[in-house]
Amino acid sequence: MKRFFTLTAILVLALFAATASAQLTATSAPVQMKAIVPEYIGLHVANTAAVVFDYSLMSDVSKDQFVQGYSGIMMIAPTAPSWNLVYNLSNRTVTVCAYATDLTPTTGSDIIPATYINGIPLQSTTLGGGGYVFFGQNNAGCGAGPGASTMIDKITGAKSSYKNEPTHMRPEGFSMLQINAHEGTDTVPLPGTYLGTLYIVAQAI
Amino acid sequence: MKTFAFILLSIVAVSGRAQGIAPPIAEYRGSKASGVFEIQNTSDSAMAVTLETKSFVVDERGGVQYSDLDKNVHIRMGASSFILAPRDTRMIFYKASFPASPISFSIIATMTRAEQQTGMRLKFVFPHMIYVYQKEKLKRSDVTLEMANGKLLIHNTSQKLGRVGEVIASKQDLGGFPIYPAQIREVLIPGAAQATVKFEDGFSLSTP
Repeated sequence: MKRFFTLTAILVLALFAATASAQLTATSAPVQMKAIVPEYIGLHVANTAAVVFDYSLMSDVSKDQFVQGYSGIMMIAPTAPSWNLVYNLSNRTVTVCAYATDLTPTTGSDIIPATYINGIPLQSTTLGGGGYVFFGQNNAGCGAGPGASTMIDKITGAKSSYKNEPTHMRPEGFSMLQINAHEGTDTVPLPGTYLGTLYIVAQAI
Repeated sequence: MKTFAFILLSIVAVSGRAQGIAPPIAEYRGSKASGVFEIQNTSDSAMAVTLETKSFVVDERGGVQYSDLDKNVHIRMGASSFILAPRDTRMIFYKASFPASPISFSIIATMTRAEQQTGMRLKFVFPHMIYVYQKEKLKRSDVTLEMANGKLLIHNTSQKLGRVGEVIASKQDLGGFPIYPAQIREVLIPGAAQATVKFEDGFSLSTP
């Protein structure tokens, strides 16, 4: 019995000793850390002012020509919509396209086709242009959508707007937007307010 | 003045900050696509959001061609329309099933200011592009390169969907893009005599 207690005591001491030893010699296991940065694309509004094509501001001569059905009478909006594109992407190709629907009157049935609207994209130089472009043109990369389209920007190898753009954001939208109310031989649209929808599609592939 | 047609067209833009999507692209391999993306509205206005599903391909010139969602593709997700409060975000969870890969489809988020707008309505569209690659990776032997008239032609002779990680020509990085089965992808490289294409499946090719 005495031997049993002695053996037990030795075992208990050995156990404590082993534990103490483990505490003294323990090394911390490496803790892996992981950061996940998702890809992102977004549009910040730069110009929130309403864009109005107001034909009542035309010169008297132009008003008369307009009523007679002259073509090529443009009305420039005093302000044009613009945004700032921000992105953080894995070397993607990004396109920004604008789509416009036909303009329909609040009453009546006349329409002003979307293809009568044109503008100068802020990134027109990037696109190889410089002048104004009508909706429905210069849209090879846009694909079918909710209306007549025009490409307003294309970025190949898009990574970080913060790193790659001078202001950390990329200006998008239009420096000028205008409308030709009856391009060609259509009838003169009746007096009224014509409304439509402008879509801005920011897409990475 | 009586006969004068008064045409008023106004675009009322969204005030405040930004709308965005994260991530705009999702990639899967095999026979399942189950994921999540986030729609963000950091503006001061509530936004009405609609989600629409479409099939798409990226054509040989890099244009996205949408079509009605393939009848064999079934996408389960939550509500397809909702109001996103000012400075709020919404996670969109989805599960897609389809008979075979490769395949590509999109969940297209359209955002517009929830309150009534006078004038032309403005809508922001952010597609979430989903690519499902086949199990077998693209191989070096599946692809050839050709230079023709200032263009780099990337011939995918296989029935596999792949992705170009980058095209380097004249020390310029021309970015990455998907390359579809049996597609000859055109990349404009004016003035460049040589190009290197790095594929995301782990190999590179260079023109002679």
